[in-house]
Amino acid sequence: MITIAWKELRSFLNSPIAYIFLIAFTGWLSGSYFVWGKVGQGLTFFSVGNTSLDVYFSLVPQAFVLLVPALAMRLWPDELKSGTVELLMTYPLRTWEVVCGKFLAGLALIALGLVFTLPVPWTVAIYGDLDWGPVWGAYIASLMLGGAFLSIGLFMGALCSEQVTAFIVTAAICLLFVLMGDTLINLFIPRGLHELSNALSFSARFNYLGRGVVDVADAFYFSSVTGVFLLLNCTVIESRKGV
Amino acid sequence: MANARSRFWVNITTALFTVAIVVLANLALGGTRWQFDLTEDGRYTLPEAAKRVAGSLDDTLTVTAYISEPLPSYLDFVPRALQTRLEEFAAASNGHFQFSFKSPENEAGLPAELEKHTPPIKPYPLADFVQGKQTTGSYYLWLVFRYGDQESAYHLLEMREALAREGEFLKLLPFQIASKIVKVRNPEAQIGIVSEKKTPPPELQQQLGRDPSDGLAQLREVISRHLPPARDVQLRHGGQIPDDIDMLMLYKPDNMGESELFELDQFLLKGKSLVVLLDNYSTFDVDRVMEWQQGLQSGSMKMRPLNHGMTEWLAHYGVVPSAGVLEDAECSANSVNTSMEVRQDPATQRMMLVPVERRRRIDGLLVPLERDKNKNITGQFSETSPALAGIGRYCAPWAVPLQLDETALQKHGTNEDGSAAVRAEALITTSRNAFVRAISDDKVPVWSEPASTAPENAVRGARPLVVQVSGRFQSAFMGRKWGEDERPPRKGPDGVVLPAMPNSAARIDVSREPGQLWVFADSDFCSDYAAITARNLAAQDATVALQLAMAGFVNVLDGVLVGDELVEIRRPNIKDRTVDTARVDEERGSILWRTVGLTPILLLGMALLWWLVRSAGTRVRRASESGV
Repeated sequence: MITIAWKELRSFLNSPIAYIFLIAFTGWLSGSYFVWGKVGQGLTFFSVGNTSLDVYFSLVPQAFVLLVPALAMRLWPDELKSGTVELLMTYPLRTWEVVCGKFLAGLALIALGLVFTLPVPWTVAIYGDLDWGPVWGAYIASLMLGGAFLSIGLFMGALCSEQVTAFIVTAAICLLFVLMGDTLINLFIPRGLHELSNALSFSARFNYLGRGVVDVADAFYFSSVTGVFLLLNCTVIESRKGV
Repeated sequence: MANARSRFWVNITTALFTVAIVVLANLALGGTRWQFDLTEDGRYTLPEAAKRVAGSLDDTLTVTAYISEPLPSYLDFVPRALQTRLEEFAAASNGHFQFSFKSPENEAGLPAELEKHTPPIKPYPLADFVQGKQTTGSYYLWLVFRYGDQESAYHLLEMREALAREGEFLKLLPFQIASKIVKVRNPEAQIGIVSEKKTPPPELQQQLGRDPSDGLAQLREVISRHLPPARDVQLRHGGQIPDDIDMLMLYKPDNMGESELFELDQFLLKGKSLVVLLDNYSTFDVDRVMEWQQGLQSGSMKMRPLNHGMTEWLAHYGVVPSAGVLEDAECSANSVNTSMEVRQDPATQRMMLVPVERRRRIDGLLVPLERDKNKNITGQFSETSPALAGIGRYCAPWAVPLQLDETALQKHGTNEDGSAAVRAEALITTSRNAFVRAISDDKVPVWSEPASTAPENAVRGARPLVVQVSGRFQSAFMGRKWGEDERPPRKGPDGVVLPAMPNSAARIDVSREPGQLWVFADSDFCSDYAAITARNLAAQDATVALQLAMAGFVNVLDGVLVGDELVEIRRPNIKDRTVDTARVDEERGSILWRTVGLTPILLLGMALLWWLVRSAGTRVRRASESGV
């Protein structure tokens, strides 16, 4: 599994995609928070006036909805299209090891992206009394959210052999998970579905973790969504092996 | 082929089975509350002080939450969040805290019954969207606390915007609940306010109303949230302080006569608490709105002098006020933007209003900080005070110069154990560079560019801004008589001297119970008009400082009247987490470089390094393959 993860990570780093992902991710977050303001609110660090990084981290789901599917879209479709998946499956590896290896490589890249955002809290801490608890909570939440999106992207990549299709479908599903439970979206759906929508929502749980409260239920939810999509991914690959 | 098909179905079944287990596990975990609060001050965990408040109940307190079902979609979280907090209070109460939820619309007759309550418990109209269509419904959002024969209702809408934000709601709720518990447990706690109401100028009466105001509406509202409403006390012309007043706030005293001082003295000697908010000049009074608006534009303001007449009386208690106003360059780094200015247009030579962004210093607006820019403790806040330590910054506009006089305190004698009977502590001070500016013609400079200079002979030193004097006092009027009377004569409305008011209570010369005297070197920090002015000027630093000063003041009231628990619960919520805006403005370029510019360069560096490592590895591999 580690071998696969390392191979995938190297392949990422050898291609421009990793750097595009990292620059786009950090640029989107820092640019939005320090230069042009959060979409729809226009809030920047200079207008917020306090050390809370809520606005900054609330940009993470937006960025991940586009960037993580872009990262995940090449993990399976490339192999499926070029036929290297058959070769890969001839190695003495179990399917889950291959799937988890690819997942870990993607997750490592997401973690690297988050590491590159650390200058932001450090900078803010220079100018006021920053509470690091919510910052660490937001990092945990971001990593979990990224993991969940990545597993969805991997699954969709295994289902669709076209990269673009995989990207669009993954982004749509991720967006749905983010929008569910949102106050604004709840205004447009029947009341009976609010509870279900809130329960499935990624953004509500992300915000809760981002406040600095690690709830075991939220952490388990993110982990279980990740686990379920990785399992489904294994099932799809297994079924492809059998065809 | 058949084998592959059966393996496919096994995989699908396994996947579905696992998904079902995961869903069930999530449902099971949804009801649990295993949480780890990573915040520095544990602000999402029920504070220990709130648990102590709940644990101190010796009789059953019931809370009935009258909450509509369903609520507007943006308040969906309220019942769940409320239940969580109420459960935590119940768990800490040894069974004395009980709660229930009721949806009045679903119980016949209940709305009518609630209507008869004092205050009436009524649904409040709130906008909502149902499947995209805007609707307006009426919703109950009330908590009613009952303790013995005491009852107190709390409308959750009082939390304003925090009600619509789950994080804020959870953070503020413990204080709201604890303060209601305190309120029903202390029904007798009474605050009195001695103040003078002023009428708004005629040209502003349409905007500000015609009713005279003392500018303390905000403070009164804050007090009434968790204590019985503050009562007006009249001291003029022989007015007496009612016996049931536990704490008296003397706001901006002016022309205090001997009979008023004697009344205050007796109040203090009864073991009660007196808070004096002193001022040498009237600045933010409602009748002077026009003057201060003009003053803020022109840079100097004609002040109305106040003659508090309390110098000798306060000096007896170890606090010596003097004339002039305090200035302190280290404490007045706050500044405001002026947006428009009259300038000559170079092209047309005409005078015109041009927008300018210039930050100006207001020298008299002192904002002492608990910690400096480098987060080092400034020493201006007493760490021993539970009330004022921790608010981070304080605001004293055009403060009265005060000094502590230890020798005066010694005159109050000693306790039986030999310790001093009276102790005084400066809880907030200026920096050591403060000096007194003498005011001529009652005209004070409002702003300067850069900081105004101190007079050549100015004596610099740290001056107290908030002083607490406590202990068993000896009367400032001890042994004194006015002819045959034990009490001073009073002055009638027309200045005619009248005999002392008859009083059946025995005169007190030495306090029986320890009392508290608080002296604030300024009164404007709790004025509604100071807050409005700071907001209008977009003076962010001053606005925050005024809010924190007010929070600190309410801490003092709570600490003295109902104990320190409320102060402790509130403290994480008022922690000063604002950024140093002046420094941020100065270093804007460097901030943008560190946060936006540096990362892409680091990433490009990383890419280059990776490429170098990879090509070096390839060369080594090729070389070893070719046997070189």
